[in-house]
Amino acid sequence: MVQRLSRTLLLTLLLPSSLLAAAPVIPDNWHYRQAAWAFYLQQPAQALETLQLAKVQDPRTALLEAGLYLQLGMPQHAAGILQRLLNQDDVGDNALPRALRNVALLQFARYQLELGNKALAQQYLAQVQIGTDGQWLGEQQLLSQLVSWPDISLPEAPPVAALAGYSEMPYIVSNQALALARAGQSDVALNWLKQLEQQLSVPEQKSFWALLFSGQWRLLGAPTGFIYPTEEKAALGDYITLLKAQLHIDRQELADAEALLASFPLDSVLSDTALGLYSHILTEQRHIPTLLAVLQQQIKQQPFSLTAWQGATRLGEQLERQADFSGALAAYQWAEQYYQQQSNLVNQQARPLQVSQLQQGLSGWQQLQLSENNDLYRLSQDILTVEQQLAAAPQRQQRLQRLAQVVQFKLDQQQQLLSSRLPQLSGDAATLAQRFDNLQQHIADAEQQPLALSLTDGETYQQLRRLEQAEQRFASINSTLNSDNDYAQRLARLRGLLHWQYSDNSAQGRYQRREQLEAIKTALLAAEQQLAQLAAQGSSTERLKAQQQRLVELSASQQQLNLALLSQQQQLLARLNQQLQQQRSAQLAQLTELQRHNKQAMARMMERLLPAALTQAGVGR
Amino acid sequence: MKVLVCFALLFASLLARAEPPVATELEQLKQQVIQLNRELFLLEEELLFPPQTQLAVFVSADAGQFFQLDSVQLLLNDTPVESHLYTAQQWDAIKRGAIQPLYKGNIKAGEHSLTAVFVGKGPDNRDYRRAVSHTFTKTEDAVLLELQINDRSSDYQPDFVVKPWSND
Repeated sequence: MVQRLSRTLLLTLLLPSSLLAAAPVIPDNWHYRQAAWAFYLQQPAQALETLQLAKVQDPRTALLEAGLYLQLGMPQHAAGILQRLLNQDDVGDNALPRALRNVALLQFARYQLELGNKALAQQYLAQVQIGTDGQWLGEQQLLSQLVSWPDISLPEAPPVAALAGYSEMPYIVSNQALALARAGQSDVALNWLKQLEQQLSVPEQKSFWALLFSGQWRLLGAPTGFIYPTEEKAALGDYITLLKAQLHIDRQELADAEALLASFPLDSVLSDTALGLYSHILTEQRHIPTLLAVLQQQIKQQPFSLTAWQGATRLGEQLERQADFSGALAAYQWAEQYYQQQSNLVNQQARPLQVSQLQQGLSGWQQLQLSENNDLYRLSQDILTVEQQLAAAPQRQQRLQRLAQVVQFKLDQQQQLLSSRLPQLSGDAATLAQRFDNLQQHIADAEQQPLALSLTDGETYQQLRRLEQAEQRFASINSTLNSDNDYAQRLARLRGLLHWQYSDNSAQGRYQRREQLEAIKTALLAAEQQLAQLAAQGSSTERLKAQQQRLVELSASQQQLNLALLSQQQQLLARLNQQLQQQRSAQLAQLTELQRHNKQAMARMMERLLPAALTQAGVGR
Repeated sequence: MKVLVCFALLFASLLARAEPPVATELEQLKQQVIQLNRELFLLEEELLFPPQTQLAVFVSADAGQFFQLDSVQLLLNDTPVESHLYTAQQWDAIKRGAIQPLYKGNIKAGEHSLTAVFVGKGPDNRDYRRAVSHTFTKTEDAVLLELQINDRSSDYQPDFVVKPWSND
């Protein structure tokens, strides 16, 4: 089928000029587009490698390179490239296009912000010039807020509609609401958050006709705004709910806050914070039964957390507030056991980590520490990155070995060519050339003679040969016998006849000889050229040896690099384990402190319950 | 109020990371790995695919509205040398302007014929199978061929073209 198709199309689609016409030069963006292939397939290292081989390093390539460095966790290299880009002239032929300059400025401002250089970040942000299309406006405004926090600029009204097309809009508006709350305008902040919530809640999709006949035809042309991924949209909704609840708490509108938090989804990424706020409200409102349930939920949901540990004591405290002293004592006793159990678990699960455990096999406590502490998480990621590099080393070594084998094979081929085949072939060529020269000379000499035997062939050759033999025989007989001159005349007549025949065909014969000689000459020249090419290949030995040397150097570099990576990994692991042990010590100290506090509460309850028990015992006696 | 401050400091805490020296050292090591890989790649190109014998084939698309690529099979002188099944992610990358390096190999000097068979979905989601052939002469320079999938607006059909490039 394939062959049938190929043959059919071969005739129709064949490009006749392709055999002769020179191919156009590869376009400048070729490597960029090849890098894009690796980039889209989530292979940033491969993409960077391809990109760096590009002959033309234009600003767009440089920006992608910076982005790839960021993706590979190399912000310093990315910053270097961005800095070089921004140092380019702002005007003239070599000026960086405005859109690309804005991207570079925003990226660089973000990097400076992450380093804590707010003034420098502000300086780069100020250079961003948003065009009429408003591209990058959202990013610029959000970064400006982060740089200026908490003194951010506040517009008259929330820019919900103005920034509807930007993914950053909810973050910008919620930050503004926070700033308003800080300025004591919590009612305005609540109003802004409400508007934001409305913008985010996309109404159920209705068909064209349903919208038209339901009188909502105005919605048909309305912009829908930025469409968020479902998870992000849910998290944004939860974040706004939490902000609103917090503002209600500040305004002592506890019932409103409780109403918001009562229906807060438990599976939300912000559920821990919501539970904290909810327990605060319930404490204030003295809704003890509900509060106890919330505290138990916190203890269950947030293992090894201070909130859960404090919750354990707070259970008893709430019962104590209700004057349920025996219940409180039981709760404190439970808390005592809980603290002891938690201490044991922390000690048990906080064992020093190995690299293999980072990939799989972390204890619950270790997982929690890495997910809650930025530095620890970053350290673990760095260790895993180094591990990836180390894991790639054997494959690299295999490639190096394969190349070494290839070079050796080529060198052996060269050696054989240079030592035996090339001299032998050269000798053969020289012999042939000599024979050709001799032949040429012989033909030239023969052509000087009136009737040369060597220049005849076929019947003429046979006749001339017989004539010459007869002449020789006659000459020998004539010298001894002095015979009649009639034979000599007859022989001369025959020679004249043959000479006449030969002269008649000599032009054609001469032409054929010239042609044949020319053909031999051309063939000899071609052979010489081929030999020259072979000899040239022989001269590539030096290049191959240089490549072999380069491979040896690369192999050595690879080994040194592996050692450096291994050493780096051990340092990072030691640092991670050290910080984890510090966390462990701090948490155990917290637990000891809570245990001490809990023991005091237990003693207090016993003091309260003891007289009553003694009295009851006395009455009983 | 404490929680409010926590929210306010949410971003700030993320940003207040200073770059410790270990990060610099780690970045330098990563850069060395990148350089090592690049040198290795260049040596591989020189030794395994020298221009005198190199044939490289790439796939690209212009818009790709009238065709969705499922697979490509490559035949060199009527012998299959490469085939590739496309994931949605890979086809999306090609539609967004990426060029896929499909095949790289070594061939002798002289005349050769390359046939690419494209299989996928054409207009109206119908099964589509087309082949395109190209004859070329291998000389001292590397042969770079781009298989382009174009949209033909005149009849709303896909168009398949082999485009030769020179590396000069």
